[in-house]
Amino acid sequence: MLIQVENLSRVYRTPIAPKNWGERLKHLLRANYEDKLSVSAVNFNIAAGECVGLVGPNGAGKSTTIKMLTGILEPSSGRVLVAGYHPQRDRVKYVKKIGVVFGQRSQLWWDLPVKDSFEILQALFDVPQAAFKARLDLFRREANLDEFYQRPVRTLSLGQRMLCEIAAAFLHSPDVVFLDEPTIGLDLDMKARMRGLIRKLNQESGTTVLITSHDVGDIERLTQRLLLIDKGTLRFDGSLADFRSHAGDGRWWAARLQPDLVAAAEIQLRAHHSALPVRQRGEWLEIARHDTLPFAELMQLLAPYSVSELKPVEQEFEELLHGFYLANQAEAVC
Amino acid sequence: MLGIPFKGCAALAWGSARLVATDRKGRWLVTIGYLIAMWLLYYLWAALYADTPTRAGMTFNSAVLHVLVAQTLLAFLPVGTDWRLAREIRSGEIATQLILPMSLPLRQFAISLGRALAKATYILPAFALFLWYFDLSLTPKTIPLALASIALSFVLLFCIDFVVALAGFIATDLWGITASKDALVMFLGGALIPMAFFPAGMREVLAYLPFGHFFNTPVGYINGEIVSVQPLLIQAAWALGFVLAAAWAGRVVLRKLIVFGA
Repeated sequence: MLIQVENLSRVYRTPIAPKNWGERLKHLLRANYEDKLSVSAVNFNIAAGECVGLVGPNGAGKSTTIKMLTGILEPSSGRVLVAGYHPQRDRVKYVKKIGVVFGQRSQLWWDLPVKDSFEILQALFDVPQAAFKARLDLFRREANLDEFYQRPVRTLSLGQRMLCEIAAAFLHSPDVVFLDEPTIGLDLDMKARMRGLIRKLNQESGTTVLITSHDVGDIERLTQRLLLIDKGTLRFDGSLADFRSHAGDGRWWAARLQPDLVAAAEIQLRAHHSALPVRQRGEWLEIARHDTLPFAELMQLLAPYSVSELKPVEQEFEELLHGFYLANQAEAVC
Repeated sequence: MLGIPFKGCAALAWGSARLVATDRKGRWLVTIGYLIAMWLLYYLWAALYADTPTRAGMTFNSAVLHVLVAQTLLAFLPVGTDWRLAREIRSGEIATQLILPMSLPLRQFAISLGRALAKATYILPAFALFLWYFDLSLTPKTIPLALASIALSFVLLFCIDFVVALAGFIATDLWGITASKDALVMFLGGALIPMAFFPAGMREVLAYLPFGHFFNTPVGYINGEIVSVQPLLIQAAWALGFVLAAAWAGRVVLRKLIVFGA
């Protein structure tokens, strides 16, 4: 396994705000702290060449996990091994094997042309000229790099800059690339170009990619596997298809009925099969596909309600993800 | 050699020199400001010497040259490493430096070196013009020793700036500590007035401290006041101590950063 994470935990120590004057005076001399568990006993492995999505609501512990994987932050406990390196202990050697994009920060030189930033990275990462040229050719083909290669970074649009950030992260042919919110703030066309470039580099170069994003489009279109983290705990690790069946209510049938009969049909179905999930959406009645209710029987049940159209539907991935977050919140409240 | 990535350092120095070069208007403003300051200093010292040919054992020419050379070094050797690094620490930009295969102090050193060299390309011609206009001339006895002393002065100034910048991890506003550092370095280092003007007791104490090596020693070599290699060796010893201290502070802070978070 290229990335091995075992019992990874991270505790942040934060000062407790004083509540009254007595506490404020004490705070001047000696502040009180509380420990907050940001990541708690997380375990996962990622094989070489995988493209994995790390998702979760804000404050779930995604960025902290990425920071620990990139060597920027030391775990409070647990073990991380990436490409045989201990990220914190072997930092200088290790970072030559990885590429990182932080959506909110830049590793390019703001006032210099993109070309200069890339040449500085080439020297820093000791990339041979032939390999450097081959990578640039790839970026020229896939990301139209020539459009803005000679322009100072400060003059680029956000999308162009992010394309350059992605290219910079892949410039030294790293084994693993960590992408933290790479498409934040981009328009649809730029997102598509960005995803195309990442997919190409993942599939053709075999670079392992771990991506965090709040844009479910990034996850759906790029990744084969999902790591879902919430409140510092890994809640799900599996394929997107597994997640659909695990988190959602699977596939549904949607039947278009005569509008004034939808409510009656719902009552009829519930009476027939009390555990069967059924919901109304306007003149559509959606019924979960279930082994205990064969299609022919369903048709018989719906026949009196004037079915004019029938189609299979799937819940949107975003909806499933949102439902999963909400379910976790509710669980925490209980 | 020594595990130093020279190619990477050279690329960073070149990149940062290019950054200075791209700021054409800033370059002109700095040069004009520098020339005005030099002109004012010249007439200030001329006024101080109006009624006497020597002060503190120095003639007008030697005193004014000392101050002008020191001010010239001050114009291009310190390159604001303290402010720049402190800003990167406060904004969290430091994280992007930790994903580069180079130690934090070395990266900062390469960037500062590039800036200093780029600034020298326009400050030194302005200085030459100034000397020509006022019919002044430099008389270094040993140019290699003078150049070595300037290089060591740069190392000392960089190290003190780097260590001060690390205070950015514990304080939001570094103005006080940076201003105090600048005042100490300039005054006790002999950049404002030659150290010959200090009281004898103070000079004795300062002889055991590194301050004189910030400006007084390189200026001494450039003006031909120092010919022996001994001050250079002492300056080199201080520079080595400062480098070790900066490397240690950098390691401690990096440890703190990755243990406690940025």
